Amino acid sequence: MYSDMLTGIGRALLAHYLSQPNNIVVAGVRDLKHQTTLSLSNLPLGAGSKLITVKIDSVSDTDAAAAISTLQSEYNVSVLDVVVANSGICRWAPIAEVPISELVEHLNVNAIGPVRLFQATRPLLQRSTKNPRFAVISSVAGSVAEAPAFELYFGAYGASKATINFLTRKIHFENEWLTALPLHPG
Amino acid sequence: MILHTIEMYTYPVVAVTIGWSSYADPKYSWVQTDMGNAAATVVGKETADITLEESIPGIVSLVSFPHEHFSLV
Repeated sequence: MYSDMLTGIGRALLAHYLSQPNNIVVAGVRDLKHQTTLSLSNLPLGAGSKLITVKIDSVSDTDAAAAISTLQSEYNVSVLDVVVANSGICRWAPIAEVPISELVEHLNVNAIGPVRLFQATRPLLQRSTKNPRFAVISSVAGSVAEAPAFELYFGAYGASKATINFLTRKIHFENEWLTALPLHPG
Repeated sequence: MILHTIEMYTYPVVAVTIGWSSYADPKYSWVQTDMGNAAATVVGKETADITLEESIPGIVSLVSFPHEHFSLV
């Protein structure tokens, strides 16, 4: 299952897994009727593979849980082997000038969004017998140790990625049956 | 394939070193997405150096690894 699959890494990951045989791939998107969402159905399918799209807005407290309910009731999906939290935002400003609302928005989308997704998908991941994984597309921008290497004004983005790096590590160690990992897709 | 786990992981997954004038280490590089290309322009580059085609196999290889292949601090 992959959240925010419309463009970039999300879409490319989706295309990869759909092209493989016998995968049921769930794409979480903000707008089920958006043209880009509809275009996902044109991606090549491997033999026996299938695409399901569900509405998940990362800042919604209810979307992810509703999507899981839909998966179970309408598509008979009761197990998830891999969940990738991919959605994110990045705007640039020095910390001295960044609007507080923008800082909060970064944390909401980039750090709390994946936790919403984890909480909703956890019961289905727990049913997997294939070493279930919860991956977060993060960034080295969230590395505290590497912060001096970047003379760039992405404080809000970096802070949100540092937060989700920590939270993902905690998810990993709080759930012994699960591999949870943040990734820098460089 | 170029991909790094975040700093807490000790398992090395760097496969390729690329040229990057300001940030020679590939872990400071970005993928050619809207976000990655925007970051690249800030440091004077036209686009990010890493293509989606180069990045996705790395992500897939890590996400698909069996649990026991990870070495955590």
